[in-house]
Amino acid sequence: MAGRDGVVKADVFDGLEEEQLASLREGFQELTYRKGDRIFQEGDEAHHLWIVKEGQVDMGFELPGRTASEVYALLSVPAGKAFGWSSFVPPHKYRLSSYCSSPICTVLRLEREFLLGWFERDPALGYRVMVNLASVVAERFNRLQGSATAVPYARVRITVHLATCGIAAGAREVVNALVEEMAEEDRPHIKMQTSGCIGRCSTEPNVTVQIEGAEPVIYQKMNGEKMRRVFREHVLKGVAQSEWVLS
Amino acid sequence: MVNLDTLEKVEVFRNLDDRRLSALSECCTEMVVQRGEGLFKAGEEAGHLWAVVEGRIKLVAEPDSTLQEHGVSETQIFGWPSLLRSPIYRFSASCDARSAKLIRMDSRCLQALFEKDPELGYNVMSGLLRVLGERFHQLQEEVVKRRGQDMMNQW
Repeated sequence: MAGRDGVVKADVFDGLEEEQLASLREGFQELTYRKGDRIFQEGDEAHHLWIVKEGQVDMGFELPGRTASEVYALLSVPAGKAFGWSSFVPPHKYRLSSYCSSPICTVLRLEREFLLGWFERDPALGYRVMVNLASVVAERFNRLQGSATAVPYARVRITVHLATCGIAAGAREVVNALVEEMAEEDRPHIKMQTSGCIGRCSTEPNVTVQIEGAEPVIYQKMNGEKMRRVFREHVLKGVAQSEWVLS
Repeated sequence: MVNLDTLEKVEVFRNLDDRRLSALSECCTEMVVQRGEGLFKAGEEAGHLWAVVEGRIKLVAEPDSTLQEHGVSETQIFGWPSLLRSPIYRFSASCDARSAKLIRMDSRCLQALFEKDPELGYNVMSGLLRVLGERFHQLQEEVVKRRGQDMMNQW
């Protein structure tokens, strides 16, 4: 990510000095996408390495005649993580398509040629970045392999009702807790969204959990701690937390 | 010490000059294993990078799943976590041929060498990234094929 001083911070640049990071400023462009926008397509020439600054990017494959959908997502990339490492692997073509899967995605686009020039001038830095990049690929390899034989998950949509009454009652704390839990689990089949008031201001913050094939469950008077439990027990294990259920 | 002709065939050491191959050989030992003999187990600390000179090695993460098993043969490397940020083996490795001849490379020795000669470190890690990327793409193809079949079945 690029901080206020323009320094790029991401997993692939772990262990680099601030000065080295600052020198990256010349090599990246910041781009913004909306949910469902394609960032690059499978088969495109891979000239860039990308870093998610804000939001989440899904990597997946496409079927002819179909639009972007979480059904085809293989991996999710949260903020602070890199994607598009195929730019460093022959034949330098992207092997998956990437889509913005959060309401807004801000991404940094780094020219491969710029990075290669940077590594040639400073091989110690190049060595460190290559260790980081290989670690990222290895970690995703393990994750992909782990998910490859797992039973397919049902799709889940979690809605935090974020109207003025909900915010006043602490809905932001609920959103933050949910975002943290989702980032830790990294399951593309689970989506979060926000919406307005459901007309039950006295029970805010309200959260609706909708698991594919089951009736939606509305929770009432939620806080961060309750949200974490609902996520772990209901969303991940399928056990609704009846003590907090509104309907 | 390992013969330089043998070492230069290893997929991540191609195009290195003799001076660098010679430095690398200081971190290497050759060994022979017999069918079924285990080298390491998943979850163990990854202290070595390995290369196959002859024969074949089987890498297994979990039993009863074809996607959780890989074969590694001549000139290929395995045990790559030994040079990465989380040095834990993710697979168990065992000999999958009558016998296999291997190069075992001490990861600390390699890392010290790379710190001293970062250009060598950069070249080897770029090679490692290429190998990892290619294997990731192979796995991805298999996963995509399976997911596609699952979808077809749902239709």
